[in-house]
Amino acid sequence: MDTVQSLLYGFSVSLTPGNLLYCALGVVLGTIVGVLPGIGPLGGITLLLPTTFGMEPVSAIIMLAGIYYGAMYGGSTTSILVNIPGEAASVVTCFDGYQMARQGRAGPALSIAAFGSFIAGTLSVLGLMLLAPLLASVALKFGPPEQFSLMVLSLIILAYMGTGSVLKAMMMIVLGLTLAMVGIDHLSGFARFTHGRVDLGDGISFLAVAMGLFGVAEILLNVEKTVVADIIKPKLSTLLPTREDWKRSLGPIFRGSGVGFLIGILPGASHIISTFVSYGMEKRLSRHPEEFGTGRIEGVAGPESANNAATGGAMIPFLALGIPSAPATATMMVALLIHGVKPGPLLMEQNPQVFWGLIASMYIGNVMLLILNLPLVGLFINLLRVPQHFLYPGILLICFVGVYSVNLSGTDLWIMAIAGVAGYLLRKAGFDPAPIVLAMVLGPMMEQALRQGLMMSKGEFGIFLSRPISAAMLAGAVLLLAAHLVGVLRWAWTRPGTKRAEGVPAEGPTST
Amino acid sequence: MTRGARERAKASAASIVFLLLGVWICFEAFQVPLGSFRMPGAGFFPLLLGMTLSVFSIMLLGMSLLSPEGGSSHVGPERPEVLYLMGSIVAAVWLFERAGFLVTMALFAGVAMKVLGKMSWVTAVSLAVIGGLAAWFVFGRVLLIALPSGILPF
Repeated sequence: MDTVQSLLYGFSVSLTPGNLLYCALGVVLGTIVGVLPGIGPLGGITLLLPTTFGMEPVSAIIMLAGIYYGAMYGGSTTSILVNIPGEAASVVTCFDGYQMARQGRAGPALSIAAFGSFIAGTLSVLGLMLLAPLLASVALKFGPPEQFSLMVLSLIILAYMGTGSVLKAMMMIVLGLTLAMVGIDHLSGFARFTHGRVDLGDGISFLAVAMGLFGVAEILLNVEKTVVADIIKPKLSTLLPTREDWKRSLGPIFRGSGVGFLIGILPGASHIISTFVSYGMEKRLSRHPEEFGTGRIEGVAGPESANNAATGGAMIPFLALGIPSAPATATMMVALLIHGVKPGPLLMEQNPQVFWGLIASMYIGNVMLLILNLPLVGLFINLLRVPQHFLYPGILLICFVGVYSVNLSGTDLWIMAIAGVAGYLLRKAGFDPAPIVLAMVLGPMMEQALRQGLMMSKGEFGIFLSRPISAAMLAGAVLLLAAHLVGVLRWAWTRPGTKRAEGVPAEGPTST
Repeated sequence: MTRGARERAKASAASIVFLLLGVWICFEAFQVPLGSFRMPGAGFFPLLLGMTLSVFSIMLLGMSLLSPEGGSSHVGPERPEVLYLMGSIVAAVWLFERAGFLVTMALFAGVAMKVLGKMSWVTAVSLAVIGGLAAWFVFGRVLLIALPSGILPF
């Protein structure tokens, strides 16, 4: 099947009434998740993951993907109207979006965000459709050494591209990999870290950890914040952008789409980083950079396009290589694995309905979001008026039911509670727990690839360096680590309070 | 003790907790066969992870001691509501299979609404019972999720 035929087949899968309904449900739920501060796309996908267990695999992934890119749309609404980013990727939109709303131009800001997201989402799906099969055909040649090196490189980039300290992110990765080791080792049959507990034999429930870290911990953190929502109501009469708005926005939309898509492929907080890169780029290219932050429409169009394009980019390593690059796609991968579908190079051959059905549904979902978002903006924004004393117990109740329903296990509830408290304390101590989730998914694959690689080479670590693709990926990882280490050493050498620091600006490293 | 010194102490404490965790992971890895490089056993990869975490913890400890401001903010809960909510979550987990879904969730929702919403007990309990029944109906009867009945016959 060529690409066009495959895409038509995908549309025949995703245009069935059931899948259309799941797509609509996904994008609406995603928009709600995006609107509500504190619950990001990862939290939303995790909370709703148990509801997909009874579905067909293609329906499940269509709905979860809908939540993922729907959240990107929803996040912009609160940034523009309330100056509160619904999720981290919409922080940049606050800068100019809220200023536009204060000047009575909330309508054009919202609609350019929606149109930009639509164009970027569609372009990124095109990119995904063209790049994923290419990458999958290359990945078919990967043996255990290449797979191991690719996972090492992915995790190092994840730490490097994260939002905080590189060292702390790497510690979270190691913690996640260790959590994945709990249970019976499938190669030797020995139980690890279980202390004789039979209910830990199958390992620690991914869902319980994810719900704890992103459901329970988020709520505990939000309880400490007092959010006062000063909502600006957009006038429907001025909803559409003017010709001048379009003229100023088209460039940022296309540039944001390209930047977002490319950064989205990389592991880490790519959808967040892409917004900052796009904003910086637009400011640099502008003839009036000093006006950014005062209500320039380019400051909304670029970043909003970038964060939506990043969702398409993030799907590529997950679908084509079977190696998720972001925690949200890692959760989607778990959903497919639960249904017995293994993402990776063989996905297109073995489960074409899942791959092409998902891609076609993303086109449809983007159209649905465009149709839904603008007329229903008033309805979505009213969600911010739901008092937290109703919202938070409700979310926690869903966490309890979701975790318990998978294995009917009280142990999983304990794991969720412990992960919740641990996630709260980790955030307070400056650790971002998101890499734990990704590492938990990669852990078993990484261990298997390492052990198989060593068995292939009869114990020679050189196998990871003697094969060109593996060596190139490890070299990339070492270079990134070395670059970071040089930065840390330079900071330690010139840190404030030492004689060497005299004459050197008194700044620590941005990331330790 | 200055604010900077207090925060350094907190960052150092976090590093020491992770260092101890790393050492414990190494200890656990030795409880199963490590194997050899030719044939790595069940403890091989966990041992690598434990050693890596220990090294990273030592690096973080060193950096937090060198840093003039420390790396962390206030670690403990800043509002008592957080502690109450944590306590009610732990209590709800303990009760879930013993008292059943309906009783536990009604109790949990009541306490959570009272703590977070500063409403009267009568309002909180009334809303919690209605909410608990609605959740039980939706999840247990409509979505057919097997929820523990506990002390109630349903």
